[in-house]
Amino acid sequence: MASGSLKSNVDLLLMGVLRHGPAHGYAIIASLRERSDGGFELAEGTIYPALHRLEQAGLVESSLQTAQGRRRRTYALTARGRKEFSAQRREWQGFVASMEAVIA
Amino acid sequence: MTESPIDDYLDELLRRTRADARTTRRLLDEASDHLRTAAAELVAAGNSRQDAEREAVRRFGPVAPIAKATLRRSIRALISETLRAALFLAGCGLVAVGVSGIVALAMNLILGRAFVGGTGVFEFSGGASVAETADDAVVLRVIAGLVGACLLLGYLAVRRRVSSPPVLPAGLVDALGAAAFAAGTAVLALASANQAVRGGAPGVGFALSGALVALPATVYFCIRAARALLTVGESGSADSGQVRL
Repeated sequence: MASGSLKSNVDLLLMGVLRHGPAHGYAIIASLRERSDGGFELAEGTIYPALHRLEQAGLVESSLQTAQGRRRRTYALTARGRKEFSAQRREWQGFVASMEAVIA
Repeated sequence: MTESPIDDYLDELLRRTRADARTTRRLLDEASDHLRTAAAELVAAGNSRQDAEREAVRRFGPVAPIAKATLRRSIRALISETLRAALFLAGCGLVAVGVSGIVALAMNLILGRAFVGGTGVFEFSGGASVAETADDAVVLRVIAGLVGACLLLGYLAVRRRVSSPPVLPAGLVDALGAAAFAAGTAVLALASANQAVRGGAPGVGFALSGALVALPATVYFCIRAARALLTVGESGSADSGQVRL
């Protein structure tokens, strides 16, 4: 997928991964890669400022957790984030349906 | 340059990130964890340590867009904190003006209205203007103080809703407050002395009532600034000694 289209939808993608449960940054990237079947070539580091931005907006929350002697920051979708995700997904699905109707 | 591409990358990220200390530290922690996890997986898959680290860095992406994204966020936080600081200082300044009105009232009652009102500004209209000046010095200043109190209440309400870490350097706002009040003290004290030299006691209270409030305010802000700066020095952290704005 073109990186420009991907960049503008990174918030929706991150919320899409987190709606399945809390995850740390590396697991989010792995999940994105797996779910897109390798279709998304996103510079992995760019998700962190995006996650920080989503947290600032109250859409995700983070906590430090220790696993195997390592402290990692884990992100989870907030109730507000779930609502926002549903709204953005509806909008995206409407956009895709309209595009399909025109270019199909 | 070190032997580790990951360390080189993290050094570069630290150099180019222009965010507050907490955001920078958090970003570096997360980047380090991410890169080392990716490299470990690549080593487990049969790559050499060097190749694995190089590939982990390549996948993580260039430093510039990441640093730029943190900068945008930090500028927003900086503007927001600066506006809150301005609200706080304006509120304190106006409350000080209000308190000086109460001091002027005390001077009117104890020393007579001429001590505050006899500034000589309205000499042409006689004694009535002395009383008017003395009363205005009280009423207008108290009104300004009430406006200041409203600003401070607004500031407290805004501050309660802020959860982000401080961006401005510790003690900066208090130092600015101390400087402003010190300048006010100096100007008002000079004006009082000038009035005393020109016309004796009448009118001295007009500026002196302000100087008597500006001086303790200067001391108060100096103490706050010193406390913030000394706490930073002891703990090495800008956050610990800083009043959240």
